[in-house]
Amino acid sequence: MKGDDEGMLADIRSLFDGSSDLLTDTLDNGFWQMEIAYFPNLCDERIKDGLLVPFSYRFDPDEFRRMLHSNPKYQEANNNKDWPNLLLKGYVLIQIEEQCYSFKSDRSLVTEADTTEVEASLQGPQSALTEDLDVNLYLIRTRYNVPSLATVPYEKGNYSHTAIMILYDKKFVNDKVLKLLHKQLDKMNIDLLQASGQLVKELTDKSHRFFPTLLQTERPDRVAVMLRRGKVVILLNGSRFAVILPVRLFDFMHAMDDDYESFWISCFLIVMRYCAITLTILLPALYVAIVSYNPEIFRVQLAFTIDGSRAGVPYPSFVEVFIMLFMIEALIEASIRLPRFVGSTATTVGGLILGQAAQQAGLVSSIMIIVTSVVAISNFVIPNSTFSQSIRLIKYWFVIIAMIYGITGIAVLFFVLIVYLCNLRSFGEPYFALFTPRANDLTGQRKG
Amino acid sequence: MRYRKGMGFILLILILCMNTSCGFKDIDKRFFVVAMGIDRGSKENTYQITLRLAIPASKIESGKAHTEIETFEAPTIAEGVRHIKAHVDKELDFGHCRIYLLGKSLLEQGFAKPLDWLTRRRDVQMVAFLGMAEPDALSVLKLNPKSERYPGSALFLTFGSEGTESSYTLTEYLFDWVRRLKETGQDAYLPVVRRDIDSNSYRTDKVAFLDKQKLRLILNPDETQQFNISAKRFAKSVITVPYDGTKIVMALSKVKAHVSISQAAIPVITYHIRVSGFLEESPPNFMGGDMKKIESLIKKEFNSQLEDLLYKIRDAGIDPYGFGEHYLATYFGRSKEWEQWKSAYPTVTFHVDSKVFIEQSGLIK
Repeated sequence: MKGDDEGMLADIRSLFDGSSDLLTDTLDNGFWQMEIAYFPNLCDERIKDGLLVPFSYRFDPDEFRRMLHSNPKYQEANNNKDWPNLLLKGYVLIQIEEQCYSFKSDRSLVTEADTTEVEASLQGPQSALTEDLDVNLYLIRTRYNVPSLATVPYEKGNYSHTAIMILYDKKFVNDKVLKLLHKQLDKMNIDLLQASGQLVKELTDKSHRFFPTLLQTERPDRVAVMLRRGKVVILLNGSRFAVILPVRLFDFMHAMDDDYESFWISCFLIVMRYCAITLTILLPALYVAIVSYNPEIFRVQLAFTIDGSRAGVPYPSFVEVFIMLFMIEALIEASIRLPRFVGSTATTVGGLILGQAAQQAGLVSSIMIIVTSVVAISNFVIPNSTFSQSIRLIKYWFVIIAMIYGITGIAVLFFVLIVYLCNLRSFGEPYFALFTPRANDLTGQRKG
Repeated sequence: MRYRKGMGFILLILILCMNTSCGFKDIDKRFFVVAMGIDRGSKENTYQITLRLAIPASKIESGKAHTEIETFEAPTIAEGVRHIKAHVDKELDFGHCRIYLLGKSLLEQGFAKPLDWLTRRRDVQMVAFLGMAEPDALSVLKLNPKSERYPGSALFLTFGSEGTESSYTLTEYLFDWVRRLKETGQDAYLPVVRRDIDSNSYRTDKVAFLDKQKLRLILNPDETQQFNISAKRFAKSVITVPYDGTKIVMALSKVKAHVSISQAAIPVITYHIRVSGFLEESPPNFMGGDMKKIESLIKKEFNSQLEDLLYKIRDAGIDPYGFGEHYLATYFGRSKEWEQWKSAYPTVTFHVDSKVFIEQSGLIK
């Protein structure tokens, strides 16, 4: 029993001094007086049926009292330290008969599942996670429909107070991973938590990593698959991406369609995807190395063709490569940032006209145009955008090393890359692990 | 700590940059050698080096391939190549040189030095083709065949199985040649490259046999084909049998062969060969279509052809089939065995045991 007659409103008014959008009032229906405080713009219409109607023209003191105690939306809120937080989350605070109650009436703009945008699928489910935590939980619960699915709420961000939900299957989850995650979450200190990418950054112990060690996905079906494999999923209110951990490199190269297509088709797609990633990493570097160090690797016909087409190019091969790679990177970046209407113009101008003109002007060889387009296209084959970004970066290391050491350098750096990947850990689990325990054996890992 | 890490990184980059190897040279700053010829020089103990250099063009058309011939006479091949570098504007690159021609006069004299140069140089590919140029490499390389689409493409399409596959053309790779020259009990061969009579293409229908020092024997085209069938099991060839004023031609589709050598004072070499194919040319209604009879006729003729060839090669004192190696491998290759083989080889007897199968008679009966 805190706060005397005018205590609650006075307390709140002094706390929210300057917030003119806060509504504080004392309502009187002739029998009772009720103090009420809420943000109208954070609350939805439920306040009318849930509170105002029973209080005003349908008023019955006994019924109202019963409602306060039996409706799960009403909670006692006598601790005045909770008040600001409740108000900001969209609760209505009322004080009636010396008792304070909170009424949950938070507004949510999202009521339906989104369609996939980043991870499109041809035949799989088209619904994606939304920016609302409750809808996301619905999407996941309907797909992963077992009682053993545990949800642990968290709140992070000193100023944003973002709601976080940790999901895992109690039967399959690895306790070590869970313990490590809780440790990391406790250590986390961030002011504004607005995107799952920030969460990923905060949860990774070393931030300067070349590869993402946590998977972000917008697909609820992927989340369900991962839960079945004993992974931990973190949902973030206000972000349409779920964070999955621990993951392996191969999870980033996995498109959900691989599970839905027929066997040989998905085999073909997977092989093609790995070929593409090899191409996008190595091709520009190989171009430099072969053109400038070991032209004997080409077939003789190709060597002469490249020789002929490079004849007018004034700069050494690596300058040529950097010019073209810069152009294509700028183009990709521009088409992401530009508004949709202008986006297609940028690609047309950049891709077609610039490429053609650069070659005709003799700035780059025609083979280089092919190399650049292959690199760009194969980069888009990678199903995960975070991973594709890091691959985008890796190729520059290869170009630099090819510039200095040629083919040998590329071979050595490729080895170094493999070693680096073997060294990486995602929440204590090896990142480059080729084999994972079978789904049926997962219950065994709970103890260890 | 952070500062030190940054310094370390900068140092690493600096070291990397300073270590830049000298190999960086763009493809357009290189002059590709497409063929190389080595002849005897005009003076004693000199070599005439001939390089055929490609002048690349961005447009590709038959007969529009341009090459440049550079030639120089020097006491060693290495010196000659270095000297030719002073005649051209771009760096010489042997990476795409797949043809090395040795002049006939050089081979008659002895060829130890060119072999040394070819095997030691880093950018000489061991899969390069070797040939003997007749009369000399310079005159053969000067030829500019009209069909060439890429500089120097005519010769390396001739060898190998990329372009034409003729049973008269033998292919000898550099690695195989080196191996044959170093191996006990096996001798090398080289295809003979000549200018065609109309000076528009090359002729490669003969084979030259060498022992470890010099040239010993050149076969005529028909014998070359028989050698190709028996030693190389080359299937895309024909066996010709004269019969009653006309000729019967059997085209082969499959050749299998193996050798057995008896252990006697004078060993008998039995050459088992099994060929199958179809008749490409024969008189109509030949022998009443009795395949067994035709087969035995071809078999008899083929046996005698092969035996003649084997004796001819034996009498020249060379062993391109590798009978000696086979003998050593079969009967414990100690030095005594080798001495014995060497003394026995000139008198060794051959026995050809061939099996001929005619699969079809062709479409016309």
